[in-house]
Amino acid sequence: MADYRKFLSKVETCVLPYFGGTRVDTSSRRLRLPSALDAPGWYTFEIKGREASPKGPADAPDLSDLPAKRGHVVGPWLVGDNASAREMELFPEDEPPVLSPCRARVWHGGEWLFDTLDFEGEAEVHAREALEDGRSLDAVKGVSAQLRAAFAYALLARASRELTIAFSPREVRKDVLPISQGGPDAAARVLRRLEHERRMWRALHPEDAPPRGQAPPHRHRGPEPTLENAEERAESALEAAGARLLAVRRMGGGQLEVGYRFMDERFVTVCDAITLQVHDAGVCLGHGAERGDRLLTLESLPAVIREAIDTEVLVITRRFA
Amino acid sequence: MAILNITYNGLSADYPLDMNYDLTDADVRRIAVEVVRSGGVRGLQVVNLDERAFANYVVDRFQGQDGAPRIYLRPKVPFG
Repeated sequence: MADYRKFLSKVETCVLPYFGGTRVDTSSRRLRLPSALDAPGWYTFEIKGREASPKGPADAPDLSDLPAKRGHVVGPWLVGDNASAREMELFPEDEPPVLSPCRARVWHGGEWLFDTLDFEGEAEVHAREALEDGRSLDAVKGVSAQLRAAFAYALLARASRELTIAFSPREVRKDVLPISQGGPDAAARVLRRLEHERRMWRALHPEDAPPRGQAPPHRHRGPEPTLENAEERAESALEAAGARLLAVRRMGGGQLEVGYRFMDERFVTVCDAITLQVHDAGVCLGHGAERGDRLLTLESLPAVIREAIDTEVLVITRRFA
Repeated sequence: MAILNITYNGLSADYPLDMNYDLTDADVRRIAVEVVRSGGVRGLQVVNLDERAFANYVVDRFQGQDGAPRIYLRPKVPFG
């Protein structure tokens, strides 16, 4: 009979990407780190059982075996089919020219890694000229739907810097076609509408005290909830709902600020550190007596965010620092 | 084995569902009422829970990281 202790004590070394949080993924399993690392990047890890210990930075390995995704670059995003804009990880130091055709590779945990730039055609060159001149795409021929969407996001990114109004692609995806036809003015109008919705929400939500803490439900598995294991429980709750923890910060009043990625977007939510009851979802969820945040927990919030994205009503009120 | 996660009154808890057939949304709500009343969901026991307590709740279905189905029963909340 095989001695399982030999298997458990076996130590392997491999190069893996680190994206944040306290987990890394191999092709077959998710591994836990002793603590969060300082910065995302490629690292050599020593793996024993389900634990991975970082040994130092490493060069990226060949990624050609991983599934490829193609699109056009706008800032950190790869803009693909259906006006999707997905943030790529581990970007090179030299930022690629906006609207460049690009290829990403999908890592085992679902993250998209920047891979390489593809050759560009005349449509990309003319679209980039229109962007620089502040024109719409109307006069440019041979523009694919992907390039049209990328052009709109690029206009929005520029208007966002000028107007200092932040946006996320999921908040404006339905506006991509009119922006590509209307040019910079259309982009500015969309951002001002978004800002108006956020101002209305802030006006209706003055900073109020968090609700009084409740007794948390007992757990079927794992330790009972404490402040010390709040991060681990937040990570488990998000992971079960298909989200990935990026960062956690303790706040006064027994609260936890939790940053996470869900459906290609980053979110920041404030919740009770013991019960994980949501205090501020970080997205618009009603107001006054109709306010929905506090009916939810970190476990059920991702499903609500999914509904907001699917019905194109997402408005983000808290952003990643 | 599926996991039913119930969010009620700002608290969430898991309940393992030993079922190997598809449940309708109405089935899920009915099961939730029964298990919350009976204390089957630890920490979420409400003996006199109204039969229609979850009538306006939303049922979401996902595949968990481990491949097991996860069913979320949560309040419907407004957007905007």
